[in-house]
Amino acid sequence: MKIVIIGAGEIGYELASILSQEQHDVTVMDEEKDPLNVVEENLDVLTMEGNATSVRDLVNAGVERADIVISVTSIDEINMIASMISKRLGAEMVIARVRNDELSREDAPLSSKDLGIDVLIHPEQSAAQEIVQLLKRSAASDVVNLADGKMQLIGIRLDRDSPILGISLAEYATEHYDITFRIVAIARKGRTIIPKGATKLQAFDQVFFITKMEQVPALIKTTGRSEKRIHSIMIAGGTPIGAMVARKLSQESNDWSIKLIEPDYEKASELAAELENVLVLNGNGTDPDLLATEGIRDTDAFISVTDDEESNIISCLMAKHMEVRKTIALVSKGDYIPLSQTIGLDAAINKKHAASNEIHRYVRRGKVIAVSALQGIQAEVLELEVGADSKVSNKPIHKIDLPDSCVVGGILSGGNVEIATGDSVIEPNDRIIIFCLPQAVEQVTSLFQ
Amino acid sequence: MTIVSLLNKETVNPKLKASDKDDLLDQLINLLSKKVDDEELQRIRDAVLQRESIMSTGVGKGLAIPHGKARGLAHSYAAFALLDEPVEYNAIDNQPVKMVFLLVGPESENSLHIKMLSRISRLMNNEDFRKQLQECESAEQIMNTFKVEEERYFGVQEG
Repeated sequence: MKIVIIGAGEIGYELASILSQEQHDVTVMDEEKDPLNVVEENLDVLTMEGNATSVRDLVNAGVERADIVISVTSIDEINMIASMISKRLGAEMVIARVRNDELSREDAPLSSKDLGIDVLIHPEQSAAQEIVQLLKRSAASDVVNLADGKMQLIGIRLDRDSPILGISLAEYATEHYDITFRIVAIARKGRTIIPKGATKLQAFDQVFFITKMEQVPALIKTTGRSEKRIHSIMIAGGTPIGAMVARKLSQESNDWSIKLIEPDYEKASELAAELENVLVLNGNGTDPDLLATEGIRDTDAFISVTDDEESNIISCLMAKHMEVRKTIALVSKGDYIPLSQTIGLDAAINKKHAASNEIHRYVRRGKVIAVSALQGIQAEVLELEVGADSKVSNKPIHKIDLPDSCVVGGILSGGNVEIATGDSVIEPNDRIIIFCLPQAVEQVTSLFQ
Repeated sequence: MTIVSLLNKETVNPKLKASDKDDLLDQLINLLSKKVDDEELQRIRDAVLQRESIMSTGVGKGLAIPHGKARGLAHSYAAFALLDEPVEYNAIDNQPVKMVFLLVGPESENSLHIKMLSRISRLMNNEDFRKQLQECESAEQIMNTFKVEEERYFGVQEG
């Protein structure tokens, strides 16, 4: 596919890096030379200096013939104008990063489609959403909703005293025959293992399960982790992500007690006026004295989303030492480092990552419905529709010649979801959920389509 | 890059005597004096003290992780010390500090710096490991303890 990326900032760079590795024909355009030089030195893509609102420059970048144009400069208005021009020039699909959520609200007088923008992406919102999900599943390090929320993929780290250590996956499944689940990957000492029935579980393994939504709590229980409900939450940083997390939480019916700490007086006052059920404190979220006075010891979850990554890590470690059950740090990184394991915290959220996940869905559109790259490990989760004349249909899974590095996790047939076993039969037009290592993605996609 | 690869006999002190927080940071940074030139050492000092003024890195349970990014460094450096006598550090739990890990890195390598800081946090979050370190009596022992724990946790291969 021919893809033009406008804006060579953090997110533009990350996207260019991933998409070029997948052999797409990528051009990156930016007004400034410096960020383009960084792109050129490190990535195998074309670069072009140009103004995103200049029709001539956009033509020169090739948007007329582009399959996808992605505008991710730091300014909403520029992204909107560049997208509108690109669409008029003939770009097939146009994706824009727009921070302001006015266009995506339900009561918006004009929708993004009216402006010729096919997809709006909102990295901060995605990151905030991920944080809220992690708070609701306090035992998990990763949570991904699948099959329209009927199934869930959860990552759980096994403690040293977990009751399932040393047993094989086959034994584990037999013992808990009343729960249907599938272990689709294990991250062990920095490596990703696609497990077999004989694979044995070890302490500190990070295990990725797929199960039906309603069985998640029972499944978590079998790992020896207890899913205690989170009540009090402290958020350090009234950044866009911090404010969104507070907003989302305060709109839900749970009786969460939420404190938000923001150092800027005006910003804190604004947030206090807007967020009724949130206690907004004007102070420094990295100040140990303040955290102690505000009762960090009695907090169930501590979320550090300031712009200072070092502080996010250090203050989450402090919170951990204060026996806060769940700590989440915002850390943005350029590469696929297994975050949740390196970080020593329960979970780390990466907004660049969230953005590239969103865009991936559209790049692999066609029959692929969703793709999530997981932070803890190298594997990707694909949700895809089985083609009408796919060679794999009407056969039990164990008879399909799948690459070793992939596992079928679930099947959606009609409205029903099923956790896949070797005997499950895939039918044309079913949606399946597959877990695989990046190198197998293309092979798997073509096999099922 | 591993944490243990950043440590050596010169940058590990199993019995540091410090009178207060300032003295402690000063001595810890001086452990790097054979690795970098005087100018770099000064920039490291400024960076670490500046971070410390933004937030105390006394993360609780007797541990502090002073850190910073300085201009023009060739790569990351680390130092570790066990304190002869605990030192008041304005830590979050008001407990004096018994062990300190110093991490400094080049300003241009933010991603690596964050990764190493995360890795240290991960290791130091384990109570058993902190106890083992506390019982070490020599630099060799300390480095070996780090090596074993790091391999146990992250595997050996990691680059």
